[in-house]
Amino acid sequence: MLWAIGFIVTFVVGGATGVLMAIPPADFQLHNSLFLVAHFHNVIIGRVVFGAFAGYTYWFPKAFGFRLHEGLGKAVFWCWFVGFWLAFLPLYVLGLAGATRRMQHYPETQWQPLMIVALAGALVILAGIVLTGVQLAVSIRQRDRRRDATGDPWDGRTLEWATRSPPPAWNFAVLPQVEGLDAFWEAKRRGEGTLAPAAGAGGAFEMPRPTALGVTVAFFAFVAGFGLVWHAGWLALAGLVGILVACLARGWRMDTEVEVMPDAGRAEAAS
Amino acid sequence: MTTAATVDAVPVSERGPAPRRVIVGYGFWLFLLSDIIVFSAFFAAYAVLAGRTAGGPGGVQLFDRGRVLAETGCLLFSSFACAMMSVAAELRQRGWMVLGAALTFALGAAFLGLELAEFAGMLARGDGPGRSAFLSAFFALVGLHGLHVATGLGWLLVMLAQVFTLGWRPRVAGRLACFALFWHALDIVWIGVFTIVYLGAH
Amino acid sequence: MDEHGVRRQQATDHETPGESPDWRSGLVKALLGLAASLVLTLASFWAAGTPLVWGPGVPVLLAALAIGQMGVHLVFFLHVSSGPESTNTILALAFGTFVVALVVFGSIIIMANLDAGMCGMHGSPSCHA
Repeated sequence: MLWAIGFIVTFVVGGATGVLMAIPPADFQLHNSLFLVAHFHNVIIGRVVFGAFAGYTYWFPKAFGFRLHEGLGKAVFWCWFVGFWLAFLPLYVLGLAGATRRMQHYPETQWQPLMIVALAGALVILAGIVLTGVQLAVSIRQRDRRRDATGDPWDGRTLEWATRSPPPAWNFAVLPQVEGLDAFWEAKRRGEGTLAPAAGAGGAFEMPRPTALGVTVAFFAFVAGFGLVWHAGWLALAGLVGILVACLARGWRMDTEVEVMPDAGRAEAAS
Repeated sequence: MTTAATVDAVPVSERGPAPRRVIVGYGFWLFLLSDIIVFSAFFAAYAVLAGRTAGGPGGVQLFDRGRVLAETGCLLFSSFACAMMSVAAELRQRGWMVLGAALTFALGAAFLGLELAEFAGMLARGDGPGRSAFLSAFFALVGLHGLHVATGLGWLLVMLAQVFTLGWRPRVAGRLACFALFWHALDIVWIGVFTIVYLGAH
Repeated sequence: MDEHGVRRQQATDHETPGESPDWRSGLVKALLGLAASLVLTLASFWAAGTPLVWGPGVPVLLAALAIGQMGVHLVFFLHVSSGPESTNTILALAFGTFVVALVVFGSIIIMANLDAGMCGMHGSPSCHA
């Protein structure tokens, strides 16, 4: 949630500065200045980084079955948020004052105080990055305490929260009946606790077995591409032959699927 | 068997997943369309560069329409042989299927032979892909098509091996159907090639 | 042939609704497709060389013949039809055609535009360096 609000605030301000830069006379002045640098970091960090962190925090329990340490997570957010503004607000000012991007050294000593503030901000962000790693390590060590038993730690609306955490490879053993946008939410409001199975759903189904084919072909494709780029015919040929052999081997494998029998309960696997 | 009335009573969207064979065919169609889009990029490059002969020979000087007609005939009859092979495969008649496959292979190989002879002749005269932008685009487009034909021939051989070693499993039959789709799509691309490249040169 | 009849039974076990079990119709379709394609191909080769068609109209005629032959291939060899099994295929084809048209015509238009604006190339305003 913090990340989402942080994203909205940061991204909108960054977008506004972009609009400022879209005015041709202003852009003539500001193009390739630190103002530009501050603007695009504003939107990239606001949008991509904060959004990614929001997704990471939200879906981590679903993917791995245990929650992240909440206190450390908040610390990470505040480090990033405060650090970002500390690091980049000075750059807006400096850009307006004439500082360009990609400077190995700068000519104006008057710029130094703001540069130091920016450095401080960068260090705060660094602390945030370090804390992210700490958060992950601590959460893994405490994972049994933080186990997500219900599959729905945030009382979610959407369908993924109706599976267990982590979900089985087939998501739902029995196809649920879904009508409307918030089917799971509605089911919970009605006190049903979970989704009803669809009419006629159920029975055994086939799932593909895990296979190394993708990784193998990718590896040999890399070899082939490398050989083609550097005009090393023998290497390119070796890569192509590798791909061919891998695909042929797969072509003669008949046991590529496994049949799964769902049991009568919720989306639990019969392993 | 269900009557027409009961089948129509269930809307298509609620009939559940289609049979695997249909799904595999559709998936392969999507791949073919992506391949056709790659070809369209090469066509676009050719269209833009067709006039850039850098003082060298253009299409009118280089292309022999008789040979192109022979190549087109080879590929067209190869497609027909492939259709025959598909019919035989549907009927699980291995002998006829092998005959169809052999014809498909032979005619496809003949096409490739004619095309390679054309390329060799041009290279020998110094009109290779490095001679001009037009020739680069020509060799890229026609060469890419030829590469697909060659790969298809290899695939056909593998499919023959699979039919002999694995029999008529649904999986093998599905792969044969995908090969047929691929082979007919290549002929469709060739229609574009001979019209735009060879007949379009004037 | 009884064996033939038995084989046909096995073929129908694997088939999907909407697909023809009759091998004869498959054969007839392929023959029709071959004949139509031959006619269209020969027509294209004729059109490219004949003085009977007005010059600037030849590319249009060639394009029409080519598109026609592609349609013949799709219907007679690839069995694209208006049946329910083909609906998704036709949608995908339509989208593919759209993308192809974008790529080809877009490239031609953009490159012609660039060509017209570049210094010193054919038929362009010369720039003073």
